[in-house]
Amino acid sequence: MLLFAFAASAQENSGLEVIKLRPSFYVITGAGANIGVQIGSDGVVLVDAGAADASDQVVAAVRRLTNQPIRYIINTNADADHVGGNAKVAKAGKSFFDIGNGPRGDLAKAMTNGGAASILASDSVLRRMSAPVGKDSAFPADAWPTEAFYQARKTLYLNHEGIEILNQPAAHSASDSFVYFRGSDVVMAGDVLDTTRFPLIDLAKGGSIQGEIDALNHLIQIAIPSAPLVNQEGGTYVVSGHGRICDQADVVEYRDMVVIVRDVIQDMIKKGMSLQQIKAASPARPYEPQYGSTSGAWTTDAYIEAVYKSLLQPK
Amino acid sequence: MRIQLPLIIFVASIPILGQIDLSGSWAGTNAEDTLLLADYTGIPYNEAGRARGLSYSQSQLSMPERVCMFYTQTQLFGGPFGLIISKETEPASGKTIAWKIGGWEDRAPMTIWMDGRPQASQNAPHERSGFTTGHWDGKKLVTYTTHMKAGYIRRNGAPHSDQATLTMHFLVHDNLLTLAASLEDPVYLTEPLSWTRTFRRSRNPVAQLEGPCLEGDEGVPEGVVPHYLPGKNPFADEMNKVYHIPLEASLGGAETMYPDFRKKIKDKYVRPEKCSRNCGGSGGPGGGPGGPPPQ
Repeated sequence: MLLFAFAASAQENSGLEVIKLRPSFYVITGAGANIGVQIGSDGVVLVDAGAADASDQVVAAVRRLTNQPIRYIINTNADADHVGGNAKVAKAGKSFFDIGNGPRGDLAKAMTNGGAASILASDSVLRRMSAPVGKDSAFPADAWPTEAFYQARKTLYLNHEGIEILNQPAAHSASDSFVYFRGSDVVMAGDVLDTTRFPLIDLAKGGSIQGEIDALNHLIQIAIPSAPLVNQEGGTYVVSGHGRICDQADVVEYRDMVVIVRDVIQDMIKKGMSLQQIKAASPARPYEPQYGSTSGAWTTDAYIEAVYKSLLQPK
Repeated sequence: MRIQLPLIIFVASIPILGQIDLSGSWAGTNAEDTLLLADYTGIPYNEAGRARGLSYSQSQLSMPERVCMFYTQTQLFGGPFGLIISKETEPASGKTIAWKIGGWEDRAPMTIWMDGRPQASQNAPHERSGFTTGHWDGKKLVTYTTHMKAGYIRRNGAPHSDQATLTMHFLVHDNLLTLAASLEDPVYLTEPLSWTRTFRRSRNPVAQLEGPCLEGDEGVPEGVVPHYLPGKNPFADEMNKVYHIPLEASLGGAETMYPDFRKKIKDKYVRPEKCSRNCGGSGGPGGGPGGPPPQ
C-alpha cells in the first residue's frame, strides 16, 4: 500500500505534492489544508480548495491529472486554508446545472456562481463565511457555498461511488464535516484530525473538547482496518486536514492522545488547580515533542487552555 | 545466440561480489522480551517518553480498536520468533530487487527494497511494515526503515513514535545471522537505542506465523481509553519491588545505557535474597523462581 502511494506521489514545481491513494483518488498537499481529488467520468470532486494564494497551483495540479471539469468543491470547515481557494478553483470548473438564458438563467447564474463548480458545505460554513446584507463578510460572495445543507448527513453519488458528507457538531469548530468516499474507501477528515499539532479546538467558533473526541470516535467507526488479514496493510485511508495520510490505527493513536490529555486536565480541575497551575504541571507532557509548540498560532498552552475552558463550559 | 548462451550461464554462476544469500529459515537464539511494567532500563527516554510509558495501561491491549493492532518492526528484537527470509528477483536479470522478512503473528512482514528507490514522501501513510530500503556495504546488508506506525520498544508499553527510524545491519558468520540495529526517535529518545539479536540458520523451516486476527469483546468498551494519570501508575516501582532495581535505573534515560551507570547506583542496589519472577531458565543457578537472582 505504501509502495503504491509512494510510487504515485509527485512533487510539483509549485511545491505542492500529489499523492495517488486509489486509482481515481488523489490528495494534494502543500496548498493550505490537504485537498482530496476524486476523478471520474462525471468530472472532478474536490474536498476543500486550499488557501487563496495557492489556487492557481491547485487548478494546475488538477489539470495535470485530468481534463475533466471540476464539478464540486466540498468544504470540511470554514477556515481560510480550506475555503480560501473556493472562488478561483470553482471558476476553473463547471456546474452540472445548465445556467441557460433569460430570467431563469439569471437565477441559475446566481445559484451557481455564473456556471462555476458548485460549492457544497454545511449551513454553518455558509454562516461563517457570509454576513447579513450591509455588513462585511469574512469571504467574498463568490467563495461562499452555493449549496448549503442543514442535515447531519448529506449524500451525493458521483463517479460511480457514494459520497457521504457527515456533519460533526462542535468539534474543531461548529462547522466540521467528514467527506467519506465509499467506493474509494477514503475519508477526508478535515481539521478534526491534524497530525502536525494538538487539535485546534476553536471555542470562539463553536468547537469543544467533547465534540472533538466524539468526532474522532465517529472517524474510528467509519474507517475499517485490515482484519482479519492484519498483515495485508490495507484498510480505509483517512486524510487529515494537515499532515500525513492516516488509517484507522493512526486515528486511534490520535484519539487516545486527546482523551488522555483531557482526562489529566479534568483530574487537575477536580483537584482545584487553577489554569496557571495546570499549565505549569504540563498535562500534555507525553505528547508535547510531537504535537506541541511554544510559538505560533496554536501553542501547547493554547491547547491546554481550550481544553480547560471547554471542560468548564456548562453542558 | 549460440555464442552468448554459455557466457550467460558462466556469468550467472558467479556470486555477486560481497553479497550473501540471506534466503532461508533462521531460528532465534536469544530474545529480549520484557513484560515487567515500567521497565525502561537502558532506554534513552526523554521526559515525554517516560511520561508516555507511565501512562500506559495493559488494558489498552483489550481495547476493541487495538486488539488486532500488534507491533512494529521493533518486535524483531523483542519477540522470540525466528525469521524466514526470501528474495524477489527481477526476471530478466536475476538481480535481487527486494529481500522479504516474513511476518509473525504479532509483526507485519518487512520488504527491504534493493532497487535504489528514493525514500517515501513524508506525507505517505505509515504502516506496521514500515518502508525499508537497503544496500550492501561489503558483506553487510544495511537497511533503513521509516514510515512505521507508533508502537512499542518493549511489550510493556515502552513507546516509540511514528517518527522513529530503524537502521539494521545484517551480518552473517557461517550459519549465524546477527542483526545489529539502532532505533532513533526524535520524539521520545535522546540518543539512538541499540539492539543485537542472533539467529542460527535452520534446516527445518521456521514456522510462518502470519495468522488472521479477529477482535473479540475483551471487556473494554469501544471509545474507552484505559490509562494511568500522572503519578498514579501502580506498577511504576515494580522493578524495585521485584529486583530492587532503583527507580532512576528502571525509568530509563540515556545514562542507563552505559556501563558506568552501574557504578553510580551500586550503593543503592541491594541484591534480593531470591529471584521471584522472570529469572531466566527453569531452575538451577540464576534459574526459575526461587533460585538465586541474576548477577
